[in-house]
Amino acid sequence: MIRLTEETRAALRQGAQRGLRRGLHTCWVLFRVTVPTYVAMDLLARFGMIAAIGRLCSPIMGWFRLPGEAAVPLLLGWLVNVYSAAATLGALGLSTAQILTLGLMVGLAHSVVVETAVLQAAGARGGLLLAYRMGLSVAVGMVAARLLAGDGA
Amino acid sequence: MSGDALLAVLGELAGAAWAGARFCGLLALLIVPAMVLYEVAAPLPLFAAWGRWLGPRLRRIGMSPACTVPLAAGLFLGVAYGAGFIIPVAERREVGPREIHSLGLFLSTCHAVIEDPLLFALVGAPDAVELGRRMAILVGVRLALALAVTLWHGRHAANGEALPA
Repeated sequence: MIRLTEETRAALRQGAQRGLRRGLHTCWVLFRVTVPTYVAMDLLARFGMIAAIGRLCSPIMGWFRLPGEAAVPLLLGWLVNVYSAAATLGALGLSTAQILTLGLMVGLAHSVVVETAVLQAAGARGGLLLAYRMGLSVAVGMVAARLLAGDGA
Repeated sequence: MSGDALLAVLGELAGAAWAGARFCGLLALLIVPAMVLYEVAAPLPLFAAWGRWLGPRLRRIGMSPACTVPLAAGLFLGVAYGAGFIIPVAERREVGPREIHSLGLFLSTCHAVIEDPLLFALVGAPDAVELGRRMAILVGVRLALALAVTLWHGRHAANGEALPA
């Protein structure tokens, strides 16, 4: 048995508490976004709104081998956050390759309003980074969709 | 609308809310232990040794050892949490604008490597193996892109050329 000093033990305890707080905070944010989003998606689907958005967006979403309906999580992810994007996925019945394509696109560019402001505040050039992220998101989406499709997923 | 139809709609909405709550529960089972592990491991000597090893190597991607802590925080916790470490380092002028730009490039390409990809990887993943495969793809692509872009940017910056974004 390794003997820990009092300080080490206190540091570990504090770390565990901080991790727990941070993890639970994340889950609480997630919960507040996910439950209403699931309900809203259900309602929108029932009134044919999702299908209408799908028809409208299918030409552009085709670039990424995604159905038009996937414009909902993509735009939510880009503009709002990753949580709201992920919360809409359950209702759309996408394949693994499509989920991974969306995951990469939204992973590269999300919550662009908040994160650009943070990077700007840190002294980075926010506008340039924003253009870079959006460009990368679109380019990676187009490439990944084609590579992942042959994945059997 | 008849009472039965109303009940059916309410039942369906309750089902949707329940599905949302279950998705959150599944995520909590993975995110909370991951965050605790990170916070417990971060002050350990092993982590400090890794930081010392990594520090000098950051020069190749245009950063000095002072960037280690904000880089690690942003990489694991995300830009919003990482900002708590990034902004003070920038304000104390421990690092120059060029390095901040490299850091920004790296972190805007790849950050929050636990939380963000998990949200997508978990949707309809049948087992842990498939979950791992999805996480590897989602994290691997972003990490590779971040390294490639900062390496390229660092080389241009070292040559004293105008900074490409």
